[in-house]
Amino acid sequence: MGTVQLSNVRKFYGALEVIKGIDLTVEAGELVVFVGPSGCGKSTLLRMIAGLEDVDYGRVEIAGKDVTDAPPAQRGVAMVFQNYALYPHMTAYDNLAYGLRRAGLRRDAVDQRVQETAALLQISELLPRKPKAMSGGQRQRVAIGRAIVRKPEVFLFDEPLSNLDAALRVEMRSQIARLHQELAATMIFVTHDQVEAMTLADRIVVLNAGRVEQIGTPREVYHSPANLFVAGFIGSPAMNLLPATLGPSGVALVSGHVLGGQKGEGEAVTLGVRPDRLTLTSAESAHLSGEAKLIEHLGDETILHLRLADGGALTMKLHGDILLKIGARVHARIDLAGACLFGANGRALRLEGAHETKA
Amino acid sequence: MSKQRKPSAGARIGMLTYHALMLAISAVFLLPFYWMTISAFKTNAEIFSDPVTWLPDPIRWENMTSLLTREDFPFVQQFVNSVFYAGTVAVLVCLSCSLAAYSFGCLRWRGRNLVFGLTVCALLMPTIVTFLPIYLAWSKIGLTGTYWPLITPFLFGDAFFIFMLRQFFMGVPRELLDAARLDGASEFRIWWQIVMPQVRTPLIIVGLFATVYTWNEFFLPLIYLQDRQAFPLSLGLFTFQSQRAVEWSVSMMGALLTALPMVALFLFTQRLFQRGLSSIGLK
Amino acid sequence: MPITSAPPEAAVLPRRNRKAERGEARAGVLFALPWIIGMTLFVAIPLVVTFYIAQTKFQIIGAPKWVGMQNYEALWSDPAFWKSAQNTLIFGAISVPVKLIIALGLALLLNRATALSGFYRTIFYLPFLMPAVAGSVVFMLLLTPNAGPVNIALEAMGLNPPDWLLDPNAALWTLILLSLWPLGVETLVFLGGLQNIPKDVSEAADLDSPKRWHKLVWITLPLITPMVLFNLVIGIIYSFQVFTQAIVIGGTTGTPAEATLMYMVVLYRAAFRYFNMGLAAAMATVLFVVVLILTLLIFKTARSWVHYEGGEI
Repeated sequence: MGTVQLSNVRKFYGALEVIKGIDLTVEAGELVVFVGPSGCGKSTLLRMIAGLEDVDYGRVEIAGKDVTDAPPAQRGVAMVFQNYALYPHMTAYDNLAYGLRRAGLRRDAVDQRVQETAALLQISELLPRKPKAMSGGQRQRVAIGRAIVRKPEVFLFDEPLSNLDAALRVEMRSQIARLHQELAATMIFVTHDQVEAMTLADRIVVLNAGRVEQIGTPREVYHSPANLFVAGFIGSPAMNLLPATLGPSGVALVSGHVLGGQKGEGEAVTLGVRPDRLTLTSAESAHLSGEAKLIEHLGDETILHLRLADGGALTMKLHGDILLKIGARVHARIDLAGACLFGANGRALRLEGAHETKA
Repeated sequence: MSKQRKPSAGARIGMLTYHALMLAISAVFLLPFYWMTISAFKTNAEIFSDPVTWLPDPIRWENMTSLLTREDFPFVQQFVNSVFYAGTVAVLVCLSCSLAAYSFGCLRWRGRNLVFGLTVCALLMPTIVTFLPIYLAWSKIGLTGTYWPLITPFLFGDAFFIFMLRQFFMGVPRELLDAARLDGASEFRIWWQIVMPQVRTPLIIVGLFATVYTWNEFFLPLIYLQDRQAFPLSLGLFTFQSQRAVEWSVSMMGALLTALPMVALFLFTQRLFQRGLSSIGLK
Repeated sequence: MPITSAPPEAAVLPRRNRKAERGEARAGVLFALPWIIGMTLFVAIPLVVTFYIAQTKFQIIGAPKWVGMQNYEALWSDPAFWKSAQNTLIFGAISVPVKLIIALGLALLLNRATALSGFYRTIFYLPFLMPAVAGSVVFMLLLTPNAGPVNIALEAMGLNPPDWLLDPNAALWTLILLSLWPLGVETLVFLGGLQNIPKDVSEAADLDSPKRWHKLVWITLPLITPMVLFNLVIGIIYSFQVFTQAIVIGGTTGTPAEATLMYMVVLYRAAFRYFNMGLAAAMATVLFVVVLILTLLIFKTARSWVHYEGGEI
């Protein structure tokens, strides 16, 4: 299995720069997930690695070879598409065999590879069928089979699960994770679904507007977002971003409450607090107080949306089924150990007293 | 899509009115067909009888034999000519237009929108505006009187059918082409092995339309062909009618037998025709 | 999309070899090439040559002789040109809108699921399959004065029918009437448009107002304006080229009394009876200019009344 190395990769659509110089190394056997809002360039980047889109500037290396100008079929990559992209007029067998035949493999070699792959994915009984006669999950497995059968250096997944229903998505997710283990394959997976990203990834690459915002393990990205964008993008419900200042005795909220931690000389900062790092408390010990505007009962947890006294919003995620009325006065306390701090430029600052979560 | 689901008395009357109206309109549309058919089996005198007779009595089958054996209306030969003409054009259209339509509908290249825009202009261009120089060129080469001028242009494509086919090619998902590129298929192979099988039905539709249009084509044969033996049916019928205007029963038999193959073709394939038409004009 | 302009800082960077997209682009041009050649050979070059011939005296035999605007001057003073232009304009101005309205009406009537829907559709479509020559011949028989079935029937009803194709005052109107018969294509294009209206949009309209005509005017018609545009443009262009019916019924002289003399018939006559290619080319050029102006006008106004789903293509 091969590494993928991108060096200062850039792409333009006309005068519009859609990929703004990306450096990235994917280690052999690693599963890297690209996440980002729609239009951030994650699919474009994947297609550039595949050779389906040109790399205007920079280098793409796969398994140590410069493939920047190589056609897709000679890069040692295989791709699983969002809509499966199975050839509708061919049986599953022919779908798997097509690429091998193009590569000039002999008939018996093709047959052997197809049968092996089918056995691995438990799709042997699907081989004589056409895509029309398969369920969504079956098509997805055949599509994965078509990628595996070519024994590529790198697997590319372009939002492959977004067309499946929720239950099937979970099942396919675990199957991909299993395949990754079994094949020890290098995989790059594009998704806009955070849960997919968090559960599958060895490392997550958060993209925004054609740039890498952060590269890190799921825990790093979640617990120590590198900047405000990542903080707001990763995690659901989103992290609370509260305006604050660094005072002589530590981080001070707009309300005047001082939380401790970093000291400073009045610099404006943003304090990031995950909704589950807030706890209900009494009026006296509260850091923040507000009025409940919306209460979502999820059964085992309750999500509270508050309007703060200063007009800001606050989201809390509480364990258990909390009974509250809309309009109720709610007092919250921040657990500084799970909070993040961002400077005026949006970059993360080291917050004293917070967890060390580096893996 | 009627809104009333319960079969109330009002709804039933509405339904009856609707069908009565539709059947009346249908009768108006069918009258010429009907009249053509019964006249084809009458003598001239019977055609113009007063009062009108709605059924031929007796049925004059001899009109058919006399049509098929006439010297001044070589129907069988002209039928064969029409089959050859329409068939060849249909096949050529399917091949040549699918190339251009694939390029416009599935591939991205610089200048594509410009060339497609010119295609739409060509589609809107009246035939006659470009016709005279083409005619002069063919007569210079000495190929007037043959089918070459009628068929050759379709070797290159036809604006209307390219326009129509492009809609269908645009429906082929781009990912399918990408998957084939990753599988190592050449661009030509992608067209032939991956995309063409997806548009098989549209190709048949276009072939059918081309057949009907060519079968009914009148202007080009009128200008290029001189020999009665070489005429296609529509021109043969015109020539006969303009020379023997009084022999209505033979004209009608000729018209009937000219129209019948297309009607039969349509009846067997009408679902395809409708699919083709409902895709037009979406732009 | 192809790269059109270089990014500002591109000057300092080496331009990459655009391999993937270049392969696709090369294939795109190659696949379109036969048609590009065809358009050049059979549209572009002939168009220019037509403009040229229009300025020459050219009788097929011999070389064309440059005469400048003489052919256009000859047309200007040719009564047949004016008569045929007038006939053709009347024909188009009445036939096209009437046909569209009837076709739209039929499509609206057809747009409901009943056991007989397929049957009706077939009937309305059949006339299109009838070769124009055959159709015209049949109408000549149907409308024969005195002895034809239509007149016998009308007379039996106590009416005084015209002589249709033999009456110089009625012949053009009869021709217009005949042109309304084959409206199957227009009808089915409209029907396709109606059936493409999403069901939820249609149902939302039903909920918004119980009156059917509200839905027709505010929902249905706006959503099928693309089909109206298509039918209108094609209809106008083809109506200006009406030829087969005219020559079958009126010959090359537009009998009776030039009442059915159409523009294309006069053009055909000039080119292939009198071999006056220069004059014919001048007529073709005039037709080109008229069609061009009309098409541009329609497309220009279309912006304000045609509704396109999701904008571009």
